[in-house]
Amino acid sequence: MEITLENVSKTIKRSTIIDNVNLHLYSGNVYGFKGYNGSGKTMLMRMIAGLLHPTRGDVKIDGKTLGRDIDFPPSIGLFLENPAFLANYTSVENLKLIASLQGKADREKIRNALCRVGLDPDDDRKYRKYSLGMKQRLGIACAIFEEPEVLLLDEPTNALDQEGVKLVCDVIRSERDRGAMVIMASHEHERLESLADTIYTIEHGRIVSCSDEEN
Amino acid sequence: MRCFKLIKYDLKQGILKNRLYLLVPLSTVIICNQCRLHLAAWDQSGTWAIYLAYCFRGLQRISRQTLSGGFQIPVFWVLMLVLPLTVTLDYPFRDIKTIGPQMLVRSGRRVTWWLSKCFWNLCSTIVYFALVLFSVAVFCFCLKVPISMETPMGSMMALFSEADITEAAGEITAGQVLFVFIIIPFSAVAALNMEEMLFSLIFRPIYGFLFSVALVTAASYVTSPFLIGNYANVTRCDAFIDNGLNSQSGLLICIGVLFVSIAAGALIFRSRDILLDYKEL
Amino acid sequence: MKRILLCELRKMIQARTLLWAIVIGMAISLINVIENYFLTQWFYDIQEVINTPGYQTLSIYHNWINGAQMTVGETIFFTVLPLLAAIPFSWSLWNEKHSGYANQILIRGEKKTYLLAKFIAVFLSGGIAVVTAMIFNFMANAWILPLCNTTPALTGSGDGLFLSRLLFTCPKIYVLLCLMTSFFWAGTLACLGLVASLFMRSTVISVLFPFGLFLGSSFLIDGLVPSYADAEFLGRFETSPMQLLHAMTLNSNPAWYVWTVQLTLLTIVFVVYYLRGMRDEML
Repeated sequence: MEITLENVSKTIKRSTIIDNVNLHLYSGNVYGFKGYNGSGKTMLMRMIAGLLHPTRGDVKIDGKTLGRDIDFPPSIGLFLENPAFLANYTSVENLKLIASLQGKADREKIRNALCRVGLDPDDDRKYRKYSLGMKQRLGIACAIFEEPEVLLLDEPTNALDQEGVKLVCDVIRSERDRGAMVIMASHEHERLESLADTIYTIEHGRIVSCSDEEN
Repeated sequence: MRCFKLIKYDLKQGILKNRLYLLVPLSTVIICNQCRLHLAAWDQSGTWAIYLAYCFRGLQRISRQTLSGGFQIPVFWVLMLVLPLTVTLDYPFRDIKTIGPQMLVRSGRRVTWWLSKCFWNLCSTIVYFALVLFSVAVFCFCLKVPISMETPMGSMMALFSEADITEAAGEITAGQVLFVFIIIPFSAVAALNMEEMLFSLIFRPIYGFLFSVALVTAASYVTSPFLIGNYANVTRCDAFIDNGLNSQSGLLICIGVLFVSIAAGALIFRSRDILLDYKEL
Repeated sequence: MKRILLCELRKMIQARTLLWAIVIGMAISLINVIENYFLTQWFYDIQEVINTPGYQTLSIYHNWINGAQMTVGETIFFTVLPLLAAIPFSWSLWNEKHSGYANQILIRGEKKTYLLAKFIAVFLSGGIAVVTAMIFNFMANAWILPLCNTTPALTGSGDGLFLSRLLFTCPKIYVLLCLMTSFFWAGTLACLGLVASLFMRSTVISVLFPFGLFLGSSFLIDGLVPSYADAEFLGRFETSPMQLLHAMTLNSNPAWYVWTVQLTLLTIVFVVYYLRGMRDEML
């Protein structure tokens, strides 16, 4: 899969959030977006996910323009800030509900995904009883359990303990090895350097630098 | 296929788990009791159709003469229309705040999500009406009132004593009862619900609700073919009221409003930015 | 107390919802103005204006939004009044509790002070939203309706209705008192929404609560006590909360009755709010 951003800009209420971004992203790589708070990382990821439309320019998935030819990338796993699920359901029930839509993941894959992020699939607790770290882990499990071709992770290690961070890093590496395209946003420079093949630095909605593994 | 799965999800989350529906039988029974007392004052027993008509009785056409004693909104009728508005108020937007974005991106198309919500909205109205009809039937059964579609003239006179009913009131066929007392009010309520959902999408749910309540209140006061709430007011129907509103054109108007709301919502949602920090106010 | 109160008042004034409520209220009250315009046109077309008996029926005191003349605009305005009062700020406590903002305030001040300040701010927000629309309506109507006194024979108002004697003797004081009463009433309704937010799980439900309560209680009063309609008290006084402030009601609503009901409701609301608020663990 190839994702292309051509001269993408986004303006909200006369404020330029994303300014003339050009990117070419390919499967089998981990791309990192680095920048301070409010630099536009999350907005960029939402545009790639199809949740926001660019004011100018196009986002293309394998040549098809988002918002025109297709509404969303065909195979995507999404982890955006503060993921929310149904409060009265357990983690397995929540993921089963989501899985029912595309039918790509069975019970085994759901359990496997939960184990990979350090959650107990047999836990009977409802989502509303989860701590912040558990909610975060469930959000990541939701992003990976259908083995999508594109994985969008926005600050995936927030609110996680050391063990949780290690698990998430392992997940990202194994997803890349599986052939998925992983796009992650983080303000933790060291984490990005250890995981990402290419790191884009974003400032004021613009990509100011790009460093890949060779450099 | 995904659309059907999304619909199934919406029906389960938006209808089966909605406790506000419990208010429907409760309010219907209270209204039916009021109808019983009203009919008893006229020495009438009524039928299932008469009790159903009372639920959507509303108010006769207002004029300067009828206003001389002061105007009071028909609370029963307003409640019968405001309840479905409340039941369908904010489910789509609450959904977007929780699991909605995950379902949305997996549905493949934005229009699929919107159409699923429209279908849910329509089904909610069907469930609402089913509950009303069933509650009236149970009430009639308990009080040994005939569960029939007949509309005896005496009962109709009791119900619509303040309106100019025609002689046809006592000769309404079962088909007309179905059309005038069920289908037309259903189409009006469905159109109002869809309109509310559209305004909730454009503005926020609270403002969509406020606008819909204002429309219903205006319809209680003003007899106009363009205020669709009037078609849920049986007292202004031309089937048995002089100078009543034409039911057939009413049905067409309501269906028109329904489709326009669906189409407009689809167009708006297609291009709308989905911000996940959605606010109800 | 002063600082927290100023903080709450600043948040209330800067809340966009207050502006929206005022705008919507003004738009609804404009319907009444438009109706009055057509009324005056009709009147001038068929009657001579000067020294014509019945001219007083055009009086602004009879036809403004809280007048005895029932119009669509007035009907809609008073039906959605609980919503207009609750929308501006009654949701704020729920939002602050769930976002954790309330914790920031509480660690910097007393819980009691915070709750009181919140109550005052919400009360004022409801009153401002509704009364601004009413004042706008009066001023807009003043462009088209004469500022002359009216008489009971022409308006149908009589003894037992809200401030009816003042309407015919000192109409300006009447209008002022109507506005003050409406302010108090709207403030109480907004606080009702605030109390609901302590019990409800959703902002929307807490904002809808005053409206739902009013519609529900009118419904229950009409539906469950028909056999008591002849009872001395219920038959004499206006029991429907949706009709309480109207200048012309089917039952009596004298000023002392209206003010007693308002004060009682406000007291109950405040007591419940305070007790529950102090008991509630926000942290």
